[in-house]
Amino acid sequence: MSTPPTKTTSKRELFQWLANVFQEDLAGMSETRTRSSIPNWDSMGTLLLIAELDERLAVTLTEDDLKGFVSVGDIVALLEQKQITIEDQ
Amino acid sequence: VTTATTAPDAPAAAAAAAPDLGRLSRALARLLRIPEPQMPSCLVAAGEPDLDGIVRMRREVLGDEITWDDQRYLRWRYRLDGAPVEAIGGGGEASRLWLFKHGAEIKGCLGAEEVAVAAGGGQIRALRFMDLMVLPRLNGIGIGAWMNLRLLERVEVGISIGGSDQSIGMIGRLFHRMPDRLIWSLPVHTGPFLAARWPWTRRLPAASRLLDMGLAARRLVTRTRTRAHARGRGRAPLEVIETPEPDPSIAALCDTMAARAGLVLVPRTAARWRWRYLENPRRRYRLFAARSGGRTVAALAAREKGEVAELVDWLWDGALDEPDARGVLVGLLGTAIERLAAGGASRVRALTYDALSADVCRQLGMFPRGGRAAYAVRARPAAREAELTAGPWFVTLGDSDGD
Repeated sequence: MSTPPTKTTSKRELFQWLANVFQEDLAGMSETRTRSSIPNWDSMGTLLLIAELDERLAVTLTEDDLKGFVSVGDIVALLEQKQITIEDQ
Repeated sequence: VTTATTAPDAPAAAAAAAPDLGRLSRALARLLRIPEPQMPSCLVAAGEPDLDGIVRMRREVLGDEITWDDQRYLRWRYRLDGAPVEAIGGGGEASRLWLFKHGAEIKGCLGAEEVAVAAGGGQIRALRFMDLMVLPRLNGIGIGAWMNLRLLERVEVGISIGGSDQSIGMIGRLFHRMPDRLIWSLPVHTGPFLAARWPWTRRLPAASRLLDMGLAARRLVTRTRTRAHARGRGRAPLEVIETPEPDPSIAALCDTMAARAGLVLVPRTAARWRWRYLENPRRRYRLFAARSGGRTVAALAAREKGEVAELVDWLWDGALDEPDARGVLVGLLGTAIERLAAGGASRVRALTYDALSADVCRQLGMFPRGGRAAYAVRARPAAREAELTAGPWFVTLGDSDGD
């Protein structure tokens, strides 16, 4: 949480944040993971995700953004749409 | 990232780390476009002027499930008319329906009951949460979690019950999730039950009647054996009667369950039973008492919901030894089941948490039904949480928000 906001991240770093937020193993985190397969991606998980993306990447999500989230890949796609550079490594 | 679960190797009853409320408030404020300093004032106790808005939201969430006069029910349940806590049989001022309200819009609500928990020879004040509801378009973004966290800040002990998968997940993050409660079911008129699963059985009404008689005979044998066993131990006969008023000894029974049987429970009183069961505008309740040797040894509240009847709440003399307590409960619950069946119920349900009540349900032929019924506690400091979660708890449907 001490990392200053940045507009660039890597997939590994993003997956690490998501793994922490949803209390999952990093190894199991991938773009194909669906929301329904992640037990802690519930209302509390969503709220923690909003806080995480805001603090890490200065990205503010909207209600409409959240409706489109059905997989980890959707989060990646939305961040790219919001001009966040996500490096593969 | 702050997480809410304990490390795998932590003691089972260790306090879960609460998510950072300030951080979550900030996130929710941004999402809902509410200035962050205004967030604390978004949590307000509902009053009469909010009633129309609450009913509108509940209709949006529950739809056709609402078959009762919801305005009357809410006014009664959460003292929206400003009734004093004495009107609901005691408790505390925090026993209210709490709203997440910004401007004129009610975005969510969360019911709370300020209760005492009898544990370890003393009583601890606690808030019991229930009736969480959020506008469908805002569902799943954390409004419910935020309301829970804000209210938890005010008390040392919070108790939560959860029914839906979503609320169960949230409860698991904010509270110490205890083993699920057991839900029991007993078909007393098997016709509707069989027809729902195997429609061809409608052509064989004699078969279901025969089955009903077999099940009733089994219950009768259980009750007769229990009575004979009590007689063999030199106990006075048990008389079970239906009572128009709650038995005056309800509070005394609770005391013995806590002090003598060592159960952790939210104590009941006759005043509380009167408010909750007899003055309930949504459902008809029936009260029973079991008497032996000139004194009340157990009491029970049951409700009728169409074809389903529920054994809602029961108490017994905790000073009785285990075989006597079992006999009393078999007699009380068994008699109530027969009266409810005679009143038209085709199925009887119950919910248990303690071992004795579960055994009695099993003895009466009830079978555990699937479905999740979470129960969770959060307390400060960690030692208190460890004490409270260790139990053993006594919990029934009477501890839930159902009616």
